[in-house]
Amino acid sequence: MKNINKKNKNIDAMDEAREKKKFQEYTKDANLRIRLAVEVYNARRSLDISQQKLAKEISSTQKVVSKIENADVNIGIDLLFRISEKLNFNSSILGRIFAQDIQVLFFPLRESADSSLLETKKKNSILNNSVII
Amino acid sequence: MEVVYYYDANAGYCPVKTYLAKYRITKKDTIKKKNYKIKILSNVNAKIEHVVQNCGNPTPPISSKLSGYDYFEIKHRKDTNILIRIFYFRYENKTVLLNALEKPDNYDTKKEKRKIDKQLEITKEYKNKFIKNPKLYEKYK
Repeated sequence: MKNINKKNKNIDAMDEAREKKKFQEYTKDANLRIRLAVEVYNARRSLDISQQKLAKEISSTQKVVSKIENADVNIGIDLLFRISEKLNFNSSILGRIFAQDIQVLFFPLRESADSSLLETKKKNSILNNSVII
Repeated sequence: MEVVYYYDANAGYCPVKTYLAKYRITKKDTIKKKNYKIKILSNVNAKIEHVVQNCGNPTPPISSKLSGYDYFEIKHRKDTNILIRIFYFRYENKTVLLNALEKPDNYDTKKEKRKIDKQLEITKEYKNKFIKNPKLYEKYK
């Protein structure tokens, strides 16, 4: 299992990689996936549903859910939307995942269809420098 | 909280550091290969940093406790069917990276299982050795 190369004993590959430009870029992506993994895991556990059941509800497989929860996969926006819908992600959870202040305007719009509300919230979000979904 | 590599005085190397050295970027590597190696290292580093932010405690789903052993593991999927497992434990204000191995997904064979069990036992020894002599470490920068 372990093939120890004597030349590699004192090499710090991690330290060398940190000096590369791409390292920071990939770290940023990895941190986003980790935040998503934590939120999906916590939400799924609080709803007391299995990976299998969640996979079925989002038209995916248990292996994909497992990979999401291990922060090993970069998911598409469609799958993210299905997950957030099934796990009832609110704006604060989405805000934590994207590390930004996010206001979700889907639900008030659906309920009231009040365009003036959207305009008011848009103005507020510009003032607060937040993102509207 | 500080992250350190456990140093095995008998073997004369840090198991995790030596394991990660296989992802060292060389001049012969193509751009694709370089990016692949950097990606693996940055992902592993991000998971280690996440554990450190939580004071070295196991924080599911990123790190978890191993059943039957008193240390924790960080898992990272390297390829579709290969998993990198990094074992660590918390000692005072240190997160000590003890050992690392690669586990193929289809390890049904008794031979593979025996190899992994052997590594888990070796990791247990590393932990005991570190507790006896807490100076056996190198800094994880």
